Amino acid sequence: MNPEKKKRLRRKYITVFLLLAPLFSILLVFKYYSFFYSLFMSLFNWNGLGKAKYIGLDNYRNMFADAAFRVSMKNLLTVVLFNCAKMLAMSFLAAELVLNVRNRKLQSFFKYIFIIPIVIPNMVHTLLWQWIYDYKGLLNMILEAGHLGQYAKPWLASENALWAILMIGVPWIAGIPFLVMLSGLQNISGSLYETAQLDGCPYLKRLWKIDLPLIVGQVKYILITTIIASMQFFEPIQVLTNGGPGTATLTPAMYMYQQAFGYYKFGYSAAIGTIIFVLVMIITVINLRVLNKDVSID
Amino acid sequence: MKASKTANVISILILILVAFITLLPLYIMVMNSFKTDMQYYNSIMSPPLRPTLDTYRAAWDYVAPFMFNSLLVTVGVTVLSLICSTLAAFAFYKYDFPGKEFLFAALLALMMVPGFMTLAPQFVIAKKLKLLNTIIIQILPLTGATSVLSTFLIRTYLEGLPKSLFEAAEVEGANVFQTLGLVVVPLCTPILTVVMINNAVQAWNNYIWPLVAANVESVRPVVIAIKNSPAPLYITYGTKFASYVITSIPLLILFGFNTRAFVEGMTSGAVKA
Repeated sequence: MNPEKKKRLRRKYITVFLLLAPLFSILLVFKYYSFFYSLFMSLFNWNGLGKAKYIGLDNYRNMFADAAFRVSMKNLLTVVLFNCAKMLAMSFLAAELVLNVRNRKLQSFFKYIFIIPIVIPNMVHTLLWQWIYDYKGLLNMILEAGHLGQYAKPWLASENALWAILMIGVPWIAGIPFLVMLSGLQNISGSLYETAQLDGCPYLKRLWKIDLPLIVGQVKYILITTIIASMQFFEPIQVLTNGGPGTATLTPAMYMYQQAFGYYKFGYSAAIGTIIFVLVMIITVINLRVLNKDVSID
Repeated sequence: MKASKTANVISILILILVAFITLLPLYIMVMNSFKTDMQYYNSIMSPPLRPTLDTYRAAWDYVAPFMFNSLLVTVGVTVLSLICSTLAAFAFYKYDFPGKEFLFAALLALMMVPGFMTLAPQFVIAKKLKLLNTIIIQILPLTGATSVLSTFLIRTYLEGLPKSLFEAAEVEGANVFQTLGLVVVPLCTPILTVVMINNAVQAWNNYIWPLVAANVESVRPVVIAIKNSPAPLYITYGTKFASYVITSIPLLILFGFNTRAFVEGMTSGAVKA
């Protein structure tokens, strides 16, 4: 290699290094290091202050014997399944309905209406629903007005608390999945619909046989992002019920937070985190495999 | 293709109903933020007949310093994240270097790491760096977290642009920073807008991390400050709702100025998996 070329190559690597350095220095300190630190910590008994004691896989053994952890996993399953169902169904239906609107102006009006909730801060949203579910809140007022007063209760303190939290934000046409579906459906060629119409294909059959198969990519994207988000679901729970009453709304993330910052069991908490990470990884890999298999659908 | 007339009418009716339910909590929030408790108890659904601004005065007195903290954090995260991810995305797009694919995969792998998993270690690091209870510690980890997806989105967007656009700049003898400033940033405006809004929303929403690492009065973000009706907001329902409205305004303004670009960016396919 001549010196001129060598010099150019060196300059290129320096440029690449300078471009990547800001991002990766932050990630190294706060993400990569934290991640491996957490894996490592899961093998220790540590309260965050004193000396950590190596205990091998004991944290993991204790976890599977822990009734609260098992309840949290059961709750997690409910959360993931219900969130996937509601996100897919509602964003698909809303996108189809919006596309049925003939007037362009009206169409984009609805589009914007359904985007507004994205920019309302999560905390405001959660606190509004806290008020809705309050004993003196909107839901009970509506029940009273409909002569169903005997069903009124403090929803977030009841045995239905998990469902109350899952129902937050009904009808769940929350921005991004809706937009993704909409852009997918907009890309379906009109001639396909015309053929279907000429063949006398009924509307519902068209949705099922043409629209859904053609937006499989979008469906999978929404599915994977919803699953990953649901696996980590706990901010509203932390605000509204702190996992209670009892363990009614306990999710692994919530439990992990309690163990770390409530009881200072950093090692045990790290073990819970590791399990959730492994689950997310498995789901992502499966999803990528399936995703790569039938790209031909486009 | 145009939908049939009946489908059109039925769809509009259902959408009106759905939009109504979606916006109802926001409507109640805004309407009741202008009411005294007496008016609130009279009817929560009606618009305020004699709107009062006392609620906003009381709420603002309480939330103003926390709003300022949140603003600092959000601007910090948004700007830093735009810089970090644009630079990195450009490096991945433009150059070949050993370990490139590995580095990019390592970057994407971070998306699988649950945020709460790094919470406790981050806390320990922050403590060692003596950064607990500062603005900067609210900014840095979130900048990292938001930059991962941002880098991916910007790189994907760049790959979709014709190469010739960049070659022209090179022939002209532009250096890396000129290319970035004069070619990349203007060309990437749609995706940069999406990234900016997404990251600003995340930064403003950031709750658990500051709860753990920066929950003292001087640096507390507004979303923690308004939680669980703190005494100064508990005076009336109106005050409480007014504080929610105030907390919502900055993102609404940001979004209001960029609505079209955001929606176009989101639906352009750049965000597809």
